[in-house]
Amino acid sequence: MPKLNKLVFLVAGIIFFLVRLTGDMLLYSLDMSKGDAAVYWYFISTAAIFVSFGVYFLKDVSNDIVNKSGTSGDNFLNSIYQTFVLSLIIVLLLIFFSFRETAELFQRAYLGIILADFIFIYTVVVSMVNFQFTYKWLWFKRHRLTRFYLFLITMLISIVIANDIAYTFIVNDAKTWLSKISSGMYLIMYVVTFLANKKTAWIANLPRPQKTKFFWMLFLNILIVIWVLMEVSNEDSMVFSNFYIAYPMTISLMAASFVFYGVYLFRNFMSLLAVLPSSVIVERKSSEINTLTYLNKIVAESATNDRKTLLDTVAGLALQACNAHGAWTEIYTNDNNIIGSCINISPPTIFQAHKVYNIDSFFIKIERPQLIESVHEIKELEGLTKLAPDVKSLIVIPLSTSAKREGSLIVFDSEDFSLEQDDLNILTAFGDNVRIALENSRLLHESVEKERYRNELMLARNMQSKLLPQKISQPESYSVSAFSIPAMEVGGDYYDMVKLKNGNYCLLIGDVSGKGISAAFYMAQLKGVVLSKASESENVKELLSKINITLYKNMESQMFITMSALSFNIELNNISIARAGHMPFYHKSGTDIFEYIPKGIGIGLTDDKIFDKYLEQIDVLLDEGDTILMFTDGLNEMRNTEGDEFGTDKLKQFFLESEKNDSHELIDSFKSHLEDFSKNAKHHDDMTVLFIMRDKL
Amino acid sequence: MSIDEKFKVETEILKHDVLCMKLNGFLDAHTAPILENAVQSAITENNFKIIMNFEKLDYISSAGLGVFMSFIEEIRSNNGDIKMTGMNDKVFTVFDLLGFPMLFDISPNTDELMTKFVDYDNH
Repeated sequence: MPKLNKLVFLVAGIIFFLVRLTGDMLLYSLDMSKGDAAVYWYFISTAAIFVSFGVYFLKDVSNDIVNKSGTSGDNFLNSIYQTFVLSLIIVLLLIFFSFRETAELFQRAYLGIILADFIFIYTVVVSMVNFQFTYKWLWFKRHRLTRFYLFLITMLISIVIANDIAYTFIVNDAKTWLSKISSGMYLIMYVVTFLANKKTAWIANLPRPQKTKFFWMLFLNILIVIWVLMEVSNEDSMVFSNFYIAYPMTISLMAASFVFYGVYLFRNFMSLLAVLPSSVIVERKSSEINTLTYLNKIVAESATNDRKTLLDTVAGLALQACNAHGAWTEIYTNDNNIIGSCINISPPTIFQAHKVYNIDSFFIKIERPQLIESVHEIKELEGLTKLAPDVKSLIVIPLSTSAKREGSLIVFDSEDFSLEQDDLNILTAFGDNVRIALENSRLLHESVEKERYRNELMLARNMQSKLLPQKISQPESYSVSAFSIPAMEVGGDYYDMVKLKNGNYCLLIGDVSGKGISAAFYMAQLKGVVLSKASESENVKELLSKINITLYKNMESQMFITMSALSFNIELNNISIARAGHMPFYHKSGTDIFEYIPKGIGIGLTDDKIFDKYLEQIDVLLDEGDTILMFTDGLNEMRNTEGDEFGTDKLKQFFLESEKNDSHELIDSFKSHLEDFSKNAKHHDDMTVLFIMRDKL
Repeated sequence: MSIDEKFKVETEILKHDVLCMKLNGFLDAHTAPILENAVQSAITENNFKIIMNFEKLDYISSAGLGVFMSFIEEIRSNNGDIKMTGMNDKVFTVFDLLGFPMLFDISPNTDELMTKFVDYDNH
């Protein structure tokens, strides 16, 4: 029912009351206040007032929102404070009118009527407010049977009121039965209200300051209820004795409402009493859980924090959780230890303790969280006590990642034996979370670094790909094709087409020992040397020799480069080949395959005396359609997913079976042949393949 | 497979103070440090006459080859040498292509290599 409609009932109620007031005064003036007509008048007017105010206060009461905002505790306290004040006024009125002098006011002419009527309407309103309050809160904290119980209570109250009406109109014999029924109803109401208020656990969860307020509110309200009920049952009550005639049903309404209200509060009060002794511990546990939850949140966000911020936060939280006096964090490095945030102790003091008394080596040795109940019992900490007398008991939490022991968190108190096992337990849980956070932070930084390296490597790969020829110059009458795949982002394989001193083209292939970045460096260096020496060399043998002279002195002893060179001699219409430790040349002519292994030592293994002594140059004549294959050992050592090597046999076989028009077709065919073989297995070494075909006419 | 299972060096002192190193397994960039340590120990103990036996070696990469190159100068300047024996065809091909036979004494005949060491002493 919308609020507007309910207001109608409120207004109606007020009007009914004013009518009643007027009527009462009229009756008094006509001296008919005690007649039969008056009885009916009293009855009907009271009923009308009950109904209108009843609807206003109680219709759809379960739909009202109890928790507008804020906590249950706050809302309850606000509501009960209102009912407390309202009910207190009744008690004050009762006290006020309990004296003969004040009670005489009721006897005064019109004043007495007005006074009595207003006290009547006030008690009705307060009774309904208390009933509404209790009903609302029982409904808010309802359980499975609440609806049934509330229905029962409503019935019981109705019976009690009906009983009251009957009492007024019925003859004497039945009166004792009626009062027995009435008592029975009240008894059942005690029990049902008690049962209805089952969910009182929320009171146990209130913070301690609220619990204290609750205690007083409940206690005082219960006292008020007792007072009112006692006054109601008192037949000699100065206030209520008049009510039976002039205000029928009011006493039972009030009694029933206050019983309902009182028993409800009583059960809350009992629950509160039960938890008060342990509330300190509950508070503490609750606070610990909150702190741990907060720390977990920090841990989750910690990946973005630097280590120092994280440790600062941790020190503060650790302190809170133990109610300790102070705390600090220290991080161990090779040079000087880093002191993180210090609370109630100064960094210089700790530095001194480290330097002068070697406190840090004591802490580093601690591998698991440790409680030191009194520093005076530990010899190694004597120095610390001297410098920082406030530190009397402490807990050390070692902080390590999987990589190493990073540091320590130390929480201390200014009294011996004041830090306990409980504190150690919670700080141990902290320590675990901090470890995770430190680990996350470390991993994140590492992965950022790794990402950086990867990007650098990709850059290097791009740059290195430019060191290899984008397009190979094609000597006249020949077609030359190539492909090269590094094992990692950068590799040590090299090839190039250069011009010798006499203008002849010269094709080179090289393989730096090893792979990856160091091989890539030598490869780049090799290209430079080749470019500078090619134009000074008459033939392939001279070129390789010059390369060795330059590089032998500049290479580490365990590094070497294998190379092969092939020059296209225009004048002599042949090719010359030389090999410095490299893979053999294969020559396909028609259906024959020849393998050439000119003598030669790898580059960088020995000085020019021995190198030149053993370097051999061979001249070869190529017919039209003849093909030469040059490759690095990454090719024949390549494995497929089953672990079989490609091997020189398969290479020769492919070479033999291939019939292509030029080396470009040949290399495309070879690439797919290779893919078929490897089936996308990763290759472990840099791989380069060069085909040189004499043009077919 | 732990690194020990992948590659191992067994050393044995033969006559004339010649140290025989048996290389077992796979010699590549990962396992090369094991060989390096073995050679370094030999040098530290003044054993400069070394015969490497490749009988049980399954595979060698450029990193493995590099190990010999990095110590040979020091060993030879101390009147010693690294000589090689026991190579199977595959391993020998690798050394041969590189020209190692021109730089080192490689022979299946261990006695022949021993004799060469004796000749050194006699000089």
